[in-house]
Parts: sequence; structure tokens; C-alpha cells
Amino acid sequence: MQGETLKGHLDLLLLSALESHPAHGYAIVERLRKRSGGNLDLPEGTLYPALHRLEDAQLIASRWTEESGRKRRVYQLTAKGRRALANRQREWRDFVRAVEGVLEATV
Amino acid sequence: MNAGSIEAYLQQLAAELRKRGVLETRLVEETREHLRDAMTEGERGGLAPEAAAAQAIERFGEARDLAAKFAAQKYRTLHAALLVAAVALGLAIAWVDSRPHWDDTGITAGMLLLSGGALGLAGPRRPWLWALGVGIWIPLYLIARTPTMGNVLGSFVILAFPFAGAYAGMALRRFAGGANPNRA
Repeated sequence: MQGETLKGHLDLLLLSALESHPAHGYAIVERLRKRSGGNLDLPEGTLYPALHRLEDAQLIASRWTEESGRKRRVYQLTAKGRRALANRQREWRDFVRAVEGVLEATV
Repeated sequence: MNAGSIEAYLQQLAAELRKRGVLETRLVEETREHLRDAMTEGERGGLAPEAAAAQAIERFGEARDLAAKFAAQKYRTLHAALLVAAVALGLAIAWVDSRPHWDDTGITAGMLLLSGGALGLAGPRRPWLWALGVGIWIPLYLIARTPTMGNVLGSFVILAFPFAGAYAGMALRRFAGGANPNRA
């Protein structure tokens, strides 16, 4: 799935990728790639403006950490982000159900 | 291409950000770590260092596109704040100017000029918008009060002051090398 298709869903995907535990940018990309079986292939640079935007909206927070002598910016969900993720997951599932209903309708 | 090409890419990214008036060392640092991770991953997958670096950069995307996207995002917030400030300043100046005992047109013009200048300096990409936000209220008030053709045309002369200020602010910012208003 390419960048344009993902555009409208990027926030939901990023929040979901951070749901279980914090991660730095490259780990988020890897997580999305693995969870999607390699089907989500976004231009990796687009990740950072999106992460900074989510941070400005206080849906995620970040801090520098040091791992094996390397500095990394690690992102994690905030309480507000967790609520936003729950709402967006619900909206997405409703949307998928509605579209499937239309696609499967025989009349 | 090798780790040096990653540094070259980072320099290009920093330059593209600077051109757009965004000083964002954090984004450059995060990009460096990301590209190093991606390069390591490529090497683990059997690629030569040059090919791994090239693949990492290609997957990350064009530095110019990333800088443009990031700057547009930053400017969106800044521009909303500047527009609110322009309207607030414009309304305050118009209110002072409309007081019955206020007859110092020179001070009004000076306030419009300075307000436009400050806003043009802070947001060099939309000087016309700050000029209108600051300057439109006095003409509107005058037209609403006495809507004659002469008054309409005459009152819009006042717009020259915030426009002159805002474009002078923009020019000063460009001269200082802080931002190129034609980019992003």
C-alpha cells in the first residue's frame, strides 16, 4: 500500500503502533511493516512531520534516550492519545463494517 | 554512496529547512539515527555499505519534500497565531482612531506601519495577509459611517501603511537570511 493511500490513516496507524509500548521512529516503521505483513510501505521521511504534529496535539510525548551509545528520540502515547486512539479505532471499525456491508449487499 | 552520503543528505535537509526559515535540529538528528538504522538493516540483509546507504536514503524520501512538508506544518500554527495578532492589533488601532478626540493621523499611520512591519518580520510568507488583517478595519469603519465614493477611495489609502510595513518586514527577514518567502 503506497503513501497516498495511507495518508488519511497515518495518525491512526502511528497511534496504534505506539499502543503497546514506546518506540523510536525507525522502530515504528519496522513495527508497521511487520504488523502489516510488509504491505504498509510509507515513505519513511513522512513519519517525522506526523510524529511532531501528534506531539504538538499532545497525543504522544517524546524524550531523548541513550541506547548502546546512540541517542534516540523515543515516542509514547499520552492519556489523551490513548483516548483518541480508542475513538479512531471505533470509527475505523464502523467505517469498515459499513463498506463491507455495501460491498457484500446483493440487492 | 556510503555513510558520507548520509551526512551529505543531512546537510541538504538542514539547508532546505533553513531556506524555509525552520531551525529544527531535532528533525535532522532523528533523521540521522533513522538512516543509520536503515543502513545497518540493509547491510545485515547483505547489501554493501554504499548500496545500504543509498537504499536508506531512497526509502526516506527527498530532503526537499520532507523540509517542505515540515515547514508547511510549522507555518500553519505560526500563521494562525499571526493572523489573530494582526486582527487584534488592527481592531485596537481602529478603535483608538475612531475616538472622538483622536486627531493624530500620523500616529495612527505609524502604528499601522510598525504593526505590519513586526508581523511581516515574524511571518515573511504572507505579508499581504498581515497588512489586510491590521489595516482593513479603519477603512471599513469609515465606509460604514459615511459611505461616499470619495470616502471609500480615500479610506483605502490608509492600507498603504500596513502594506509598506509588512513588505519591509518581509524584506528585512529575507535580507537577514532567515527565510525565503518564495519557498514552501
